[in-house]
Amino acid sequence: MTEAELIKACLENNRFAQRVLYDRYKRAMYTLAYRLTNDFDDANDVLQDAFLDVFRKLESFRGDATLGAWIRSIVVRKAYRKLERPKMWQLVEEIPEETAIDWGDAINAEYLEKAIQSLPEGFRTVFILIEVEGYTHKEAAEILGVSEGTSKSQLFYAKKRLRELLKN
Amino acid sequence: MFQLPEYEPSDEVWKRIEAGLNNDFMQKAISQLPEYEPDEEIWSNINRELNQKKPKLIVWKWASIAASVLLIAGILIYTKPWNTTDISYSQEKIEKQLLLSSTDDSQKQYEMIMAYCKEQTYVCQNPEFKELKSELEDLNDASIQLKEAVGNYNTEPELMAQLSTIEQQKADVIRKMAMKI
Repeated sequence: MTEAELIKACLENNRFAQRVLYDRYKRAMYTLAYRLTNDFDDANDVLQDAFLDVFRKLESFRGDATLGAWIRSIVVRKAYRKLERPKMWQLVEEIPEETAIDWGDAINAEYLEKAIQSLPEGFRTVFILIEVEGYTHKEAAEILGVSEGTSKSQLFYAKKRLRELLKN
Repeated sequence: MFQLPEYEPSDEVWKRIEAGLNNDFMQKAISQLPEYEPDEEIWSNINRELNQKKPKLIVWKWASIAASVLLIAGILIYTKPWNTTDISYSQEKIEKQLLLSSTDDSQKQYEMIMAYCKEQTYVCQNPEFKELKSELEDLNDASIQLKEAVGNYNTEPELMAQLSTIEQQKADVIRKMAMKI
């Protein structure tokens, strides 16, 4: 079934089509929701609310981006609402001129997952959006309602913290 | 022989190459991060929410339509813009069961279930679902054969009544299947 056929059937409120769409994206979106919220219960809530929005607002999907990117943006916004926003941004110094991080040898994905989970919310959110999900600083700053400078500095210090965690 | 000069790149270039190579380690690890599977319960909740109607909105919608109709009727009665000439008319009733639907919903639903089972094996492997699917396939075959027998210009009400019964049975089976996803 092509994406266009699937969207058309979902718009007709066809429950089978809605289930197919959910199954196509559930793993990636649940993983993203979990990484952002750092909590499986919150990730469940985010996934449920996000897909209800997807099915109820599918009419507003204009096809400017892929369907996956559209669903992902809904998941990110829902997950972001779960976080304690006033407390999440770490006060950081200015970014130094030298921003390259030496990761040393190969990084173990399992250790990296644990290290990401232990980052403060602001660092973690920006790292996931930019390094894992591939958003630009401009896009991330727009979603999070911060300046591009904040996004850049949070990412730099997130990487620095990750480097320390992975070293140990 | 005159030799063309050579130029030395700035140290910045190597720094950027090094940073890029360093980042490759990170990107490789990111691509290997684990994925997580949500519980089946999440879909059940979504399904339940989607099935729920919004009665308040519907009541308001119908109430506003009724109020508009009463207002227009009131204005018309008060102003009486029409002449008092009597007009008589008659209506011909269409026998709906003698018409083939141009948009066959049950056929669409049937195709969707087949596509669904191609992608989704978890629910489709359920014995009860399999039984319903096989029943639906039989009903669909019967419906296709009947439609061929009826042709484009139906003249036999018995065939249409039979087709209508089969379509009703198909709709019932589809409803039962939908409850299982």
